[in-house]
Amino acid sequence: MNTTLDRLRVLLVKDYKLEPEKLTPDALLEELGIDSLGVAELMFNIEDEFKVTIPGDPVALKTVGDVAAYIDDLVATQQPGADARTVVSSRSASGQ
Amino acid sequence: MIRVAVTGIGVVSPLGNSASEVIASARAGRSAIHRLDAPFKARLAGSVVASAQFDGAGHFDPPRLRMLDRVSQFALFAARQGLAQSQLDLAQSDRGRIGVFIGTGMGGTQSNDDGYRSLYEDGSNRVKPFTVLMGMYNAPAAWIGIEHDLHGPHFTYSTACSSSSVAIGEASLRIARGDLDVAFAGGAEAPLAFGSLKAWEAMHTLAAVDPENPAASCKPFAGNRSGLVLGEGAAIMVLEAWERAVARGADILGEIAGYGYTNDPGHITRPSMDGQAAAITAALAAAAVDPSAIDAINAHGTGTQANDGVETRAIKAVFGPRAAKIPISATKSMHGHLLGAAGALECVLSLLAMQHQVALPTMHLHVPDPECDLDYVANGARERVAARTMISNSFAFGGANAVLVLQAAP
Repeated sequence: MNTTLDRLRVLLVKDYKLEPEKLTPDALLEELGIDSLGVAELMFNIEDEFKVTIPGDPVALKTVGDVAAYIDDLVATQQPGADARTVVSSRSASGQ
Repeated sequence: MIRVAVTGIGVVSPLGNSASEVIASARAGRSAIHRLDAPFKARLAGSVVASAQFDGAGHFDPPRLRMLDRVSQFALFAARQGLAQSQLDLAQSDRGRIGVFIGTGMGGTQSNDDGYRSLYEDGSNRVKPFTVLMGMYNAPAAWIGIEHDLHGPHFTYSTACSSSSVAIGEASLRIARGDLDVAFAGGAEAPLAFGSLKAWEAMHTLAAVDPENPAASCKPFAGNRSGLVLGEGAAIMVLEAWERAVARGADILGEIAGYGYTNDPGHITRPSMDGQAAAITAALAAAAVDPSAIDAINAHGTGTQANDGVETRAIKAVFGPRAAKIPISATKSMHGHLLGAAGALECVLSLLAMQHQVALPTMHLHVPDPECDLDYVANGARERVAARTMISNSFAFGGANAVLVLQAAP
């Protein structure tokens, strides 16, 4: 089964035409050409790929590994069977 | 007043993606108008367009490309061509004295269309995060400034079909006044999205498809003309203070010698003969040339019932009996109507036509209209026309009439 990092890599290769070997966990997004605005757009695609809802509160994501860990976090709280109250409270806290 | 030299020309258009391609196509009378091939074509009545053969993937890094609407892709690629031809050394230039002046009638049409589709058709509650940045009208001008690190003003003009003639004219005034050394000036338009095509269709100004030859659907000045055909692309020139261009040994491609502008406040779409004639007269006065000095005209010539008759009368009003002897080209018959980029493309074609000593044709003009009885260079280019001074007309919905006086290279 593919890890989150693998799936994120596939997405970055497909949509951003990045070279897979550059997508190590500690690769800086900025150096890959994805600045803070680009991260906002990347989140949009992550919502589609991982079937999660990105909360409104800003998070600092600097590396490819940061993004993978963030996705894992979201999936853990939002996947079916996760504590519904956690999801609701995180969404209301974000103002959505 | 400082003279304004053209030292670079860049084009993305239905007639080709370089100055040499567009002049060759136009000279050969090749129409780029074709039946629309899009998933939504069955939902359009009259579906001929003039599209540019252009794929941004070959010209931009993927992360950047994701932020660029098609209209900005066109503008950036055209600006790069113009800059390359000008051989301007930006590192040796005062970047605060280099401006960007771009006309666009509709901005990032495709991006706005995509956003509305996801909301209204797909029922999604999300639109892409870059939708505002891609759709905003000033994006093409802003991106040119970003790509080349320009610190002068970047202005966007939206006066519908005269947008880029206004942009070129206003840029030339800044240089003439000594405010700027250099300007990227022109226009960009990418209106072939489903929503905007439907909106144009609803205006009842689009040409009916010629059943025998769809490429001949746009018939300016013809008795059987039925409307305009939408086109897409960009044309952007590098304009430069004359002495500066001479001093650095630049190849001067022509001159923006005058710019005239009038507003028709009478009606939102109906053209006025007086307003058009006044704009031509104002441009001639700005260039300090007599009507007798004008050797050829690039007409607005949309192929609509309303424009072509009125424009013919305006030309007669300014040039008198000599009007019948001036070659008039309506190149929209081949490249369609690029709306906010139309004036710039036609300005560029006029400069290139003078350089190549050719009068470009008005194609598909087989059925005469008694109201349109001038010399439109019908159906084939005229070679060995030694024009030195031309006007290029742009008249717009909303009433913005803009005319440029163009001088051939010395």
